[in-house]
Amino acid sequence: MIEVSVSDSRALKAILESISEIVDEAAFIFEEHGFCIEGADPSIISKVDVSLSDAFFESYHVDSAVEFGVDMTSLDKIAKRILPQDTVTLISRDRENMLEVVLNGGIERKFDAALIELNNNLPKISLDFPATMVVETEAFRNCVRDLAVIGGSVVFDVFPERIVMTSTGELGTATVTIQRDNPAVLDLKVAAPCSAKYNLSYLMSFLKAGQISECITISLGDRDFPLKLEFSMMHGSLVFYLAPMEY
Amino acid sequence: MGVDLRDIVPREDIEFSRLHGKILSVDALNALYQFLAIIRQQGGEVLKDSKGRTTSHLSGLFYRTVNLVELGIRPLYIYDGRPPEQKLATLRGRKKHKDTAQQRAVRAKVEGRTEDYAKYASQSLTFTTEMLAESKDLLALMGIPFFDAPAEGEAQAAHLCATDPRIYAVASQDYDALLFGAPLLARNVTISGRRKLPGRSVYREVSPELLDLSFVLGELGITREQLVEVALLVGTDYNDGVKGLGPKKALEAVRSGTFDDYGVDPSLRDLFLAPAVSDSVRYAFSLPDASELRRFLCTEHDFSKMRVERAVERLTKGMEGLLRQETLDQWF
Repeated sequence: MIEVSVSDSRALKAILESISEIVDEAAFIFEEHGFCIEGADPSIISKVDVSLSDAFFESYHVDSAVEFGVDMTSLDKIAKRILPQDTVTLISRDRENMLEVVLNGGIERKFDAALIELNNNLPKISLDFPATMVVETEAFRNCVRDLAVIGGSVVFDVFPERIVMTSTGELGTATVTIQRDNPAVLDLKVAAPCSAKYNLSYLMSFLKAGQISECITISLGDRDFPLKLEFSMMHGSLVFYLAPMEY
Repeated sequence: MGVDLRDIVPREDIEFSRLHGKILSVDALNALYQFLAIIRQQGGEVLKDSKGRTTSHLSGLFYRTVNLVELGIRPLYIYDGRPPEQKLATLRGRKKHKDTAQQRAVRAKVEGRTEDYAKYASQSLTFTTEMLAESKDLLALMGIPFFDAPAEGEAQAAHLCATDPRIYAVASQDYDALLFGAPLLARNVTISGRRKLPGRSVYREVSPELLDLSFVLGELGITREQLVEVALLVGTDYNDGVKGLGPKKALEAVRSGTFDDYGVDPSLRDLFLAPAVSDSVRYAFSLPDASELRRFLCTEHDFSKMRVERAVERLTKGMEGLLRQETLDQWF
């Protein structure tokens, strides 16, 4: 039996909504001291890892570790009904093939979401990224929106002293240059200059979770290397991985 | 050249559609030799530009690669580096054979024996440094990657296929790729649908075939080490083999554990099992440089403008469709 609840539900809502943008089915893993969500889109172009410690929740009861599959399309519909004042409680009873989602902001609403069979476990991705930057979420999100005006993909050129993002399309080219000393850049570590291309629409989906933290950590590599985008919170993190596009 | 295991290895005839979306590591020299041998003018002469430079290999490389890309197949060409010491004897032998063939070809031409000329001329094929450099220039303009192996191109192609999940199969006519450990070998990929039978003006249809190393080994009931032993008994690029021992008899010998009785140097096994290869191969496909490609082929080498124009269009279109999103599973 598990029963966990969180009264400030905005972060949870943002997390669930953003991952259901890319993931159809996700693994919910409740462990003794923390809760994880793992999933990938059907083509395995992107992957998401959510990790929330028990401290993220007001109450956290997990009798024994349990893992089950959740249909994110239906959970997304429930998540959309989470109101700012709601306390969210997730309940799963042994031998009941159901995830109970209780929303309570004065009037209690209870949803039963059927669990699903998961095909396979997704392996972890562990990579040493040659370039890592920490930037303000809102500033970065605006840059990505600027680039999306022109094209469907973005080339990152990351140097020790600046980040250049370029998007090319039928209309022409959009270039965004962020200098290292810009106040929006909190950190920039570049072991070697990197250049890599990624799909903008995936990045836009990831950034829908933007409100959960004021800054994001973006890691990438040269050419054929995935991108990692991490939102850190007080008691957890939301990490997206994105496969590169060929040059 | 390579070892002849045709009689014993099972294969599967496939359609090109099976290779759609795949990247193949191609033994470049193997393909270029085929082009040089097959692509001839009437009378058996290689194609030449107005400056007298051979262009048969460029023509084959260009049009065949365009066809592959149009079929959704991306070739990564692997060139030979420095051959292992043990191959030098074979190469000297081939050189001698080619010199003889060259003399015979000259005589046949003088005496007007066209058939003989074509035969000897194709036996005397050699690649000059310039010809190889031009083929790489051509690939670069086409947006097709190539890599110079430290030693055997075929070994490097096999190693890539075994270690890089993006590479689906090795493309080569030789069976050596299996000995080098390629999990999948695709034959008849870089040659055209029609192939001239050696020494005769007869053509037969060829379609691609796929050889799966683990299936081959399972069917034969042997290990890869043993397949290498079979090859060494039959004869490879590194040794002459045992006289009178064909693939079937060699297979029997290896199965019954009598390999050591034939006096073949067992250290030769490592040339196939642990060849010199590079682990730092980087490659990327890109759109062709259309105007430079036209200049290189039409202005520089006198290719037909109309034909090149159409092919460049097909290449650009095909590559646009292929330059795409990768997936994450290769980093799992």
